[in-house]
Amino acid sequence: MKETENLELCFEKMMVENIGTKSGGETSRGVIKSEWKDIPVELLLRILSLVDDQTVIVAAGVCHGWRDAISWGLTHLSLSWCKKKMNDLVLSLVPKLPKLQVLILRQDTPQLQDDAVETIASYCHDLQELDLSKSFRLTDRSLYALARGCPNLIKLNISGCSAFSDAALAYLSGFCRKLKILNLCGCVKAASDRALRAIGYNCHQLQSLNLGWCDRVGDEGVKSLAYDCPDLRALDLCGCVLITDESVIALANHCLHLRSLGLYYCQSITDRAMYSLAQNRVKSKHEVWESVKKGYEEEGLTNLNISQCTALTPPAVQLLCDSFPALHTCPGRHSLIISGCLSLTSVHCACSVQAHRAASSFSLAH
Amino acid sequence: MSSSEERKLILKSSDNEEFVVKESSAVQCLTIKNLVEDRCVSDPIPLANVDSKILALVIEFMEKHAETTLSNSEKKEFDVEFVKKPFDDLLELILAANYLDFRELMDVLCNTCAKQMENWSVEEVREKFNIQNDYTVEEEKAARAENPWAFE
Repeated sequence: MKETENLELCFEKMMVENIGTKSGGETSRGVIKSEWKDIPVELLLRILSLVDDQTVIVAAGVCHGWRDAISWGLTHLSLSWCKKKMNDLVLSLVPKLPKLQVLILRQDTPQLQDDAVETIASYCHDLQELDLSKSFRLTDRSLYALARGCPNLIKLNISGCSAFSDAALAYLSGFCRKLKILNLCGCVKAASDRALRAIGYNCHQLQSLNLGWCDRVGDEGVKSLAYDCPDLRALDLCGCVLITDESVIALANHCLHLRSLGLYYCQSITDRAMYSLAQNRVKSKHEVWESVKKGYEEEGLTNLNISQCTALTPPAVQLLCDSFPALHTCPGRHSLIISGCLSLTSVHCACSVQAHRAASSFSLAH
Repeated sequence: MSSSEERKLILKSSDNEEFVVKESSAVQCLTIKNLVEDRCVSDPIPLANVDSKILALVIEFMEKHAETTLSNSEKKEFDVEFVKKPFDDLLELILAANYLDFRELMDVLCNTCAKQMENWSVEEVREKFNIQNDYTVEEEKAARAENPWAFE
């Protein structure tokens, strides 16, 4: 129970630093006025968290106080709205923003060059998320720079950066070992088995990997990932035409948290792959029991794309559908995608079967 | 034992004006709520960082938002009118809301300033917030080169 005399002290401690004393003028009431240029950093940042990125940039140009506040506190920035000269803006702006954690530079037309990425790597050592998609003018210089400057990267999107080599990607993985989400869609040169082996070796926390249209990816690469990245939850192998059942079996055996798998156009996939996924579901159910006790939900596969996998037959795919209750063929929650497989039209998830039965019993009654 | 609806508090501004408010309204300010819960309440509660003009406005907002008979859309209508004030007053209100930890008022004020600021140029920001340009010629040139409109 505090004494009344100490109450003043209570308030003194809680007081926001009296900013009016620096430069404010006196009002007619004899009270020192506060000034917008001296607004406390956290309050300015709170307002700026509500405005678009262009306005944040304007704010940084208003006065020293605001520029310093933004330098000190800005953690998220997107420049994807730049239709032109994004490179210049990055070169000019990024040195003032050393606290950036998330930087989105996705482009429609490729504007970024290596010097911009080198600048990011020199200043933004706290960077956790970087989106450079479609920057196909970037060369390996950028990857080497990121490796040296941004070891805290967790999420990296370099889809469409077709000039990167696998040596540089492998090098990057050795430094950015905290990577959890990596998008290499369309990085045909970079995503080779050699690079995947390095990624598997270095990035054990990997959860999501997009290898869409990386047609050099083979079983060796995917198997390395399966062995070394037990936490893998999402893997997109669409268009990875060299993949065989070996890859899927390795994933089924080793990546028990796998929720999403894309095998679109992997035409060498056969029923063997389906059976291995279904079998391991049974095995992992024992693990599921333990994890449910710990409060962790494990549904197994929720998304599977096997379009154009024309070697698959209905019994195998139906078994898979039955083993994973989260796989749906019904229109509302379509997550088992089998377009282009005319032989698989008979495969249905449990809810479509029920709906079908309800409909046919209705028509029977009439 | 009186119900909390009847309990009143006296708030004293930095220029020594006293305001009587219902405790149930005042506890929207977490700073005051904590004092009440910790039984640190003296009569009156001195608010050394808030002058009478601003405190009167805060209390107006506080009491409106504590009224259970008003609908959310009526409160929103009030908010729209409430924020039609000079930017200097809005700044004082933001500082008071921060000091008092009055989340609802803070959100309304920040959203207002944010919405206004979008589409302003650097010059407009300086003019409307009455901020002196303290940049050197080179710094000013560099800031102009970052004008977002040139990149859209």
